[in-house]
Amino acid sequence: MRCMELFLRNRSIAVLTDQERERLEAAVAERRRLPARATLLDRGEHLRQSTMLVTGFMIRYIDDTEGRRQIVAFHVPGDFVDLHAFPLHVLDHSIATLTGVEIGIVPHGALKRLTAEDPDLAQKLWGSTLLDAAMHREWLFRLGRLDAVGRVAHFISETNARLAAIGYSDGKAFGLPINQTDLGEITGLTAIHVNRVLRMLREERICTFRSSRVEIADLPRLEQIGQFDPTYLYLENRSADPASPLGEENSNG
Amino acid sequence: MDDPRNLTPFEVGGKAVAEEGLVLLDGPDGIAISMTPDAAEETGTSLIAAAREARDQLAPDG
Repeated sequence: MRCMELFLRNRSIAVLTDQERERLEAAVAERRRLPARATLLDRGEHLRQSTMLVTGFMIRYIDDTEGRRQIVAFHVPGDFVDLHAFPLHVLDHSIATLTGVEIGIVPHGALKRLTAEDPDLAQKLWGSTLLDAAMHREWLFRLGRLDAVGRVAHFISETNARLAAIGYSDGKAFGLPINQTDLGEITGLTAIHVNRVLRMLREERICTFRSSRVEIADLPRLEQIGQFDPTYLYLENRSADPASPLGEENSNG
Repeated sequence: MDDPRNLTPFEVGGKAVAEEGLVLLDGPDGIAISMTPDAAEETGTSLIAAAREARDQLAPDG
Protein backbone atom coordinates (compact mmCIF):
# COMPACT_ATOMS: atom_id res chain seq x y z
CA MET A 1 0.00 0.00 0.00
CA ARG A 2 1.17 3.53 -0.70
CA CYS A 3 2.08 5.54 2.38
CA MET A 4 -0.56 8.25 1.91
CA GLU A 5 -3.30 5.94 0.63
CA LEU A 6 -5.49 6.24 3.74
CA PHE A 7 -4.57 9.73 4.96
CA LEU A 8 -7.74 11.77 5.63
CA ARG A 9 -9.77 9.12 3.82
CA ASN A 10 -13.52 9.79 4.15
CA ARG A 11 -13.13 12.85 6.34
CA SER A 12 -15.34 15.83 5.64
CA ILE A 13 -12.90 18.47 6.84
CA ALA A 14 -10.28 17.91 4.18
CA VAL A 15 -10.73 16.02 0.94
CA LEU A 16 -7.34 15.45 -0.61
CA THR A 17 -7.15 15.66 -4.39
CA ASP A 18 -5.22 12.96 -6.24
CA GLN A 19 -2.53 15.51 -6.98
CA GLU A 20 -2.21 16.50 -3.32
CA ARG A 21 -1.98 12.85 -2.31
CA GLU A 22 0.76 12.36 -4.92
CA ARG A 23 2.68 15.36 -3.63
CA LEU A 24 2.55 14.01 -0.09
CA GLU A 25 3.58 10.57 -1.32
CA ALA A 26 6.60 12.09 -3.04
CA ALA A 27 7.58 13.75 0.26
CA VAL A 28 8.05 10.36 1.96
CA ALA A 29 11.78 9.89 2.33
CA GLU A 30 11.77 6.39 3.77
CA ARG A 31 9.51 3.45 4.60
CA ARG A 32 10.29 1.52 7.72
CA ARG A 33 8.95 -1.55 9.53
CA LEU A 34 8.92 -1.65 13.32
CA PRO A 35 8.13 -4.54 15.65
CA ALA A 36 5.24 -4.57 18.12
CA ARG A 37 5.71 -2.91 21.52
CA ALA A 38 8.60 -0.69 20.41
CA THR A 39 9.05 2.92 21.47
CA LEU A 40 9.61 5.04 18.39
CA LEU A 41 10.10 8.40 20.09
CA ASP A 42 10.48 9.56 23.67
CA ARG A 43 8.95 12.60 25.29
CA GLY A 44 11.21 15.64 24.90
CA GLU A 45 12.86 14.52 21.68
CA HIS A 46 13.54 17.10 18.98
CA LEU A 47 12.11 16.00 15.67
CA ARG A 48 13.06 16.71 12.10
CA GLN A 49 10.53 14.37 10.54
CA SER A 50 6.95 13.23 11.01
CA THR A 51 5.53 9.72 10.88
CA MET A 52 2.72 8.44 8.67
CA LEU A 53 1.27 5.17 9.96
CA VAL A 54 0.73 2.92 6.94
CA THR A 55 -0.24 -0.38 8.58
CA GLY A 56 -0.72 -1.48 12.18
CA PHE A 57 -1.57 0.43 15.36
CA MET A 58 0.42 2.92 17.40
CA ILE A 59 -0.12 4.97 20.54
CA ARG A 60 0.92 8.24 22.05
CA TYR A 61 1.41 8.00 25.79
CA ILE A 62 2.62 9.70 28.94
CA ASP A 63 3.99 7.75 31.92
CA ASP A 64 3.57 9.07 35.46
CA THR A 65 6.49 9.29 37.88
CA GLU A 66 5.89 5.69 38.99
CA GLY A 67 5.86 4.43 35.43
CA ARG A 68 2.11 3.97 35.11
CA ARG A 69 1.03 4.68 31.59
CA GLN A 70 -1.81 6.77 30.27
CA ILE A 71 -2.38 6.30 26.57
CA VAL A 72 -3.44 9.69 25.23
CA ALA A 73 -4.02 8.75 21.60
CA PHE A 74 -4.62 5.58 19.62
CA HIS A 75 -3.52 5.62 16.00
CA VAL A 76 -4.91 3.66 13.09
CA PRO A 77 -3.54 3.34 9.54
CA GLY A 78 -3.67 6.62 7.67
CA ASP A 79 -2.91 8.73 10.74
CA PHE A 80 -0.12 11.29 10.57
CA VAL A 81 0.99 10.29 14.05
CA ASP A 82 3.14 13.29 14.93
CA LEU A 83 2.38 15.89 12.31
CA HIS A 84 2.01 18.39 15.16
CA ALA A 85 5.75 18.00 15.76
CA PHE A 86 6.33 19.84 12.46
CA PRO A 87 5.49 23.26 13.99
CA LEU A 88 6.18 22.24 17.62
CA HIS A 89 9.63 20.67 16.96
CA VAL A 90 9.67 18.93 20.36
CA LEU A 91 7.49 16.02 21.30
CA ASP A 92 5.55 16.44 24.55
CA HIS A 93 4.66 12.73 24.79
CA SER A 94 6.11 9.40 23.73
CA ILE A 95 5.13 7.30 20.72
CA ALA A 96 5.16 3.51 20.53
CA THR A 97 3.87 0.68 18.41
CA LEU A 98 1.21 -1.69 19.69
CA THR A 99 1.50 -4.09 16.76
CA GLY A 100 4.06 -4.55 14.07
CA VAL A 101 3.77 -1.48 11.87
CA GLU A 102 4.91 0.02 8.63
CA ILE A 103 5.54 3.74 8.69
CA GLY A 104 6.47 6.43 6.19
CA ILE A 105 8.98 9.07 7.28
CA VAL A 106 8.33 12.60 6.01
CA PRO A 107 11.15 15.10 6.64
CA HIS A 108 10.03 18.46 8.00
CA GLY A 109 12.02 20.16 5.26
CA ALA A 110 9.75 18.52 2.67
CA LEU A 111 6.65 19.52 4.65
CA LYS A 112 7.94 23.08 4.82
CA ARG A 113 8.34 23.23 1.05
CA LEU A 114 4.94 21.66 0.43
CA THR A 115 3.08 23.97 2.79
CA ALA A 116 4.88 27.04 1.44
CA GLU A 117 4.04 26.15 -2.15
CA ASP A 118 0.49 24.91 -1.65
CA PRO A 119 -1.71 26.80 0.84
CA ASP A 120 -4.68 24.49 0.22
CA LEU A 121 -2.64 21.46 1.15
CA ALA A 122 -1.22 23.35 4.14
CA GLN A 123 -4.75 23.99 5.35
CA LYS A 124 -5.65 20.32 4.98
CA LEU A 125 -2.59 19.28 6.99
CA TRP A 126 -3.60 21.83 9.61
CA GLY A 127 -7.07 20.28 9.56
CA SER A 128 -5.53 16.89 10.24
CA THR A 129 -3.91 18.15 13.44
CA LEU A 130 -7.21 19.81 14.43
CA LEU A 131 -8.86 16.44 14.02
CA ASP A 132 -6.36 15.07 16.54
CA ALA A 133 -7.27 17.92 18.88
CA ALA A 134 -10.98 17.13 18.50
CA MET A 135 -10.28 13.53 19.49
CA HIS A 136 -8.28 14.68 22.52
CA ARG A 137 -11.29 16.74 23.65
CA GLU A 138 -13.50 13.72 23.30
CA TRP A 139 -11.02 11.57 25.25
CA LEU A 140 -11.09 14.18 28.04
CA PHE A 141 -14.87 13.90 28.09
CA ARG A 142 -14.65 10.13 28.15
CA LEU A 143 -12.22 10.00 31.08
CA GLY A 144 -13.89 12.79 33.03
CA ARG A 145 -17.54 11.97 32.63
CA LEU A 146 -18.08 8.32 31.78
CA ASP A 147 -18.09 5.30 34.08
CA ALA A 148 -16.08 2.17 33.34
CA VAL A 149 -18.49 0.56 30.89
CA GLY A 150 -19.12 3.92 29.21
CA ARG A 151 -15.41 4.49 28.65
CA VAL A 152 -14.88 1.10 27.06
CA ALA A 153 -18.07 1.37 24.98
CA HIS A 154 -16.99 4.81 23.78
CA PHE A 155 -13.53 3.62 22.74
CA ILE A 156 -14.92 0.63 20.86
CA SER A 157 -17.53 2.83 19.14
CA GLU A 158 -14.89 5.38 18.18
CA THR A 159 -12.48 2.78 16.88
CA ASN A 160 -15.24 1.11 14.89
CA ALA A 161 -16.10 4.43 13.23
CA ARG A 162 -12.47 5.30 12.50
CA LEU A 163 -11.70 1.88 11.06
CA ALA A 164 -14.88 1.87 8.98
CA ALA A 165 -13.73 5.15 7.40
CA ILE A 166 -10.60 3.42 6.08
CA GLY A 167 -12.22 0.11 5.20
CA TYR A 168 -10.90 -1.87 8.17
CA SER A 169 -14.31 -2.40 9.76
CA ASP A 170 -17.56 -3.37 8.11
CA GLY A 171 -19.32 -1.35 10.80
CA LYS A 172 -19.88 -4.37 13.03
CA ALA A 173 -16.59 -6.23 13.33
CA PHE A 174 -12.92 -5.44 13.15
CA GLY A 175 -9.49 -6.69 14.17
CA LEU A 176 -8.12 -5.04 17.29
CA PRO A 177 -4.83 -6.68 18.27
CA ILE A 178 -4.46 -5.07 21.67
CA ASN A 179 -4.78 -6.61 25.13
CA GLN A 180 -6.85 -5.72 28.18
CA THR A 181 -3.93 -3.85 29.76
CA ASP A 182 -3.75 -1.62 26.67
CA LEU A 183 -7.49 -1.07 26.90
CA GLY A 184 -7.05 -0.19 30.57
CA GLU A 185 -4.32 2.33 29.77
CA ILE A 186 -6.60 3.91 27.18
CA THR A 187 -9.63 4.11 29.46
CA GLY A 188 -7.91 4.73 32.81
CA LEU A 189 -9.01 1.37 34.25
CA THR A 190 -7.19 -1.63 35.65
CA ALA A 191 -7.08 -4.73 33.49
CA ILE A 192 -9.42 -6.46 35.96
CA HIS A 193 -11.92 -3.63 35.66
CA VAL A 194 -11.70 -3.85 31.87
CA ASN A 195 -12.22 -7.59 32.06
CA ARG A 196 -15.39 -7.11 34.10
CA VAL A 197 -16.72 -4.50 31.67
CA LEU A 198 -16.02 -6.70 28.65
CA ARG A 199 -17.78 -9.59 30.34
CA MET A 200 -20.80 -7.40 31.00
CA LEU A 201 -20.89 -6.23 27.38
CA ARG A 202 -20.63 -9.82 26.23
CA GLU A 203 -23.30 -11.15 28.62
CA GLU A 204 -25.69 -8.40 27.60
CA ARG A 205 -25.05 -9.30 23.97
CA ILE A 206 -23.80 -5.85 23.05
CA CYS A 207 -20.32 -6.74 21.85
CA THR A 208 -17.51 -9.22 22.27
CA PHE A 209 -13.77 -8.59 22.31
CA ARG A 210 -11.95 -11.88 21.99
CA SER A 211 -8.83 -13.12 20.21
CA SER A 212 -7.93 -9.65 18.94
CA ARG A 213 -11.32 -9.20 17.33
CA VAL A 214 -14.30 -7.01 18.19
CA GLU A 215 -17.75 -8.11 17.12
CA ILE A 216 -20.57 -5.68 17.75
CA ALA A 217 -24.01 -7.24 18.13
CA ASP A 218 -25.91 -4.11 19.14
CA LEU A 219 -24.23 -0.97 17.80
CA PRO A 220 -26.98 1.51 18.85
CA ARG A 221 -26.83 0.26 22.43
CA LEU A 222 -23.02 0.29 22.47
CA GLU A 223 -22.97 3.88 21.24
CA GLN A 224 -25.67 4.84 23.71
CA ILE A 225 -23.73 3.40 26.66
CA GLY A 226 -20.61 5.22 25.47
CA GLN A 227 -22.56 8.47 24.79
CA PHE A 228 -20.80 8.30 21.44
CA ASP A 229 -21.58 11.09 18.99
CA PRO A 230 -19.23 10.83 15.99
CA THR A 231 -19.54 14.51 15.05
CA TYR A 232 -15.99 15.17 16.30
CA LEU A 233 -14.56 12.64 13.84
CA TYR A 234 -15.76 14.69 10.84
CA LEU A 235 -16.60 11.60 8.84
CA GLU A 236 -17.70 12.17 5.28
CA ASN A 237 -20.78 9.97 5.26
CA ARG A 238 -21.10 7.55 8.11
CA SER A 239 -24.24 5.91 6.79
CA ALA A 240 -22.59 5.01 3.49
CA ASP A 241 -20.88 1.69 2.96
CA PRO A 242 -17.45 1.62 4.54
CA ALA A 243 -14.50 2.32 2.25
CA SER A 244 -13.28 -0.58 0.16
CA PRO A 245 -12.26 -3.33 2.51
CA LEU A 246 -8.52 -3.76 2.48
CA GLY A 247 -8.47 -7.36 3.51
CA GLU A 248 -7.72 -9.40 6.58
CA GLU A 249 -3.99 -8.91 6.13
CA ASN A 250 -4.32 -5.22 6.90
CA SER A 251 -7.26 -5.38 9.27
CA ASN A 252 -5.10 -7.00 11.89
CA GLY A 253 -2.28 -4.56 11.54
CA MET B 1 -33.33 25.50 40.31
CA ASP B 2 -29.82 24.18 39.76
CA ASP B 3 -28.45 24.53 36.28
CA PRO B 4 -27.68 20.95 35.20
CA ARG B 5 -24.57 22.22 33.46
CA ASN B 6 -23.05 23.17 36.81
CA LEU B 7 -21.15 20.53 38.68
CA THR B 8 -23.34 19.53 41.60
CA PRO B 9 -22.80 16.93 44.32
CA PHE B 10 -24.11 13.50 43.45
CA GLU B 11 -27.07 12.20 45.36
CA VAL B 12 -26.65 8.59 44.29
CA GLY B 13 -23.67 6.63 45.55
CA GLY B 14 -21.26 4.55 43.55
CA LYS B 15 -21.43 0.79 43.35
CA ALA B 16 -18.61 -1.38 44.61
CA VAL B 17 -18.07 -5.01 43.64
CA ALA B 18 -15.37 -7.57 44.41
CA GLU B 19 -13.53 -9.05 41.46
CA GLU B 20 -10.43 -11.25 41.51
CA GLY B 21 -9.42 -10.10 44.99
CA LEU B 22 -9.87 -6.40 44.27
CA VAL B 23 -12.64 -3.92 44.96
CA LEU B 24 -13.94 -2.11 41.88
CA LEU B 25 -15.83 1.11 42.43
CA ASP B 26 -18.02 2.50 39.65
CA GLY B 27 -19.54 5.92 39.92
CA PRO B 28 -20.91 8.24 40.79
CA ASP B 29 -20.14 10.16 37.61
CA GLY B 30 -16.78 9.34 36.02
CA ILE B 31 -15.32 7.44 38.97
CA ALA B 32 -14.04 4.03 37.95
CA ILE B 33 -11.26 2.73 40.16
CA SER B 34 -9.84 -0.53 41.47
CA MET B 35 -8.52 -0.89 45.03
CA THR B 36 -6.97 -3.55 47.18
CA PRO B 37 -9.27 -4.69 50.01
CA ASP B 38 -7.15 -2.70 52.51
CA ALA B 39 -7.37 0.46 50.41
CA ALA B 40 -11.11 -0.05 49.97
CA GLU B 41 -11.64 -0.40 53.72
CA GLU B 42 -9.54 2.67 54.39
CA THR B 43 -11.49 4.64 51.79
CA GLY B 44 -14.82 3.38 53.18
CA THR B 45 -13.89 4.38 56.74
CA SER B 46 -12.76 7.79 55.56
CA LEU B 47 -15.94 8.28 53.55
CA ILE B 48 -18.18 7.37 56.50
CA ALA B 49 -16.27 9.70 58.82
CA ALA B 50 -16.48 12.54 56.29
CA ALA B 51 -20.20 11.88 55.75
CA ARG B 52 -20.83 12.21 59.52
CA GLU B 53 -18.86 15.45 59.65
CA ALA B 54 -20.72 16.81 56.61
CA ARG B 55 -24.08 16.02 58.28
CA ASP B 56 -22.93 17.84 61.41
CA GLN B 57 -22.04 20.86 59.28
CA LEU B 58 -25.60 20.92 57.95
CA ALA B 59 -27.22 20.61 61.39
CA PRO B 60 -28.95 23.83 62.57
CA ASP B 61 -26.56 24.21 65.50
CA GLY B 62 -23.58 22.89 63.58
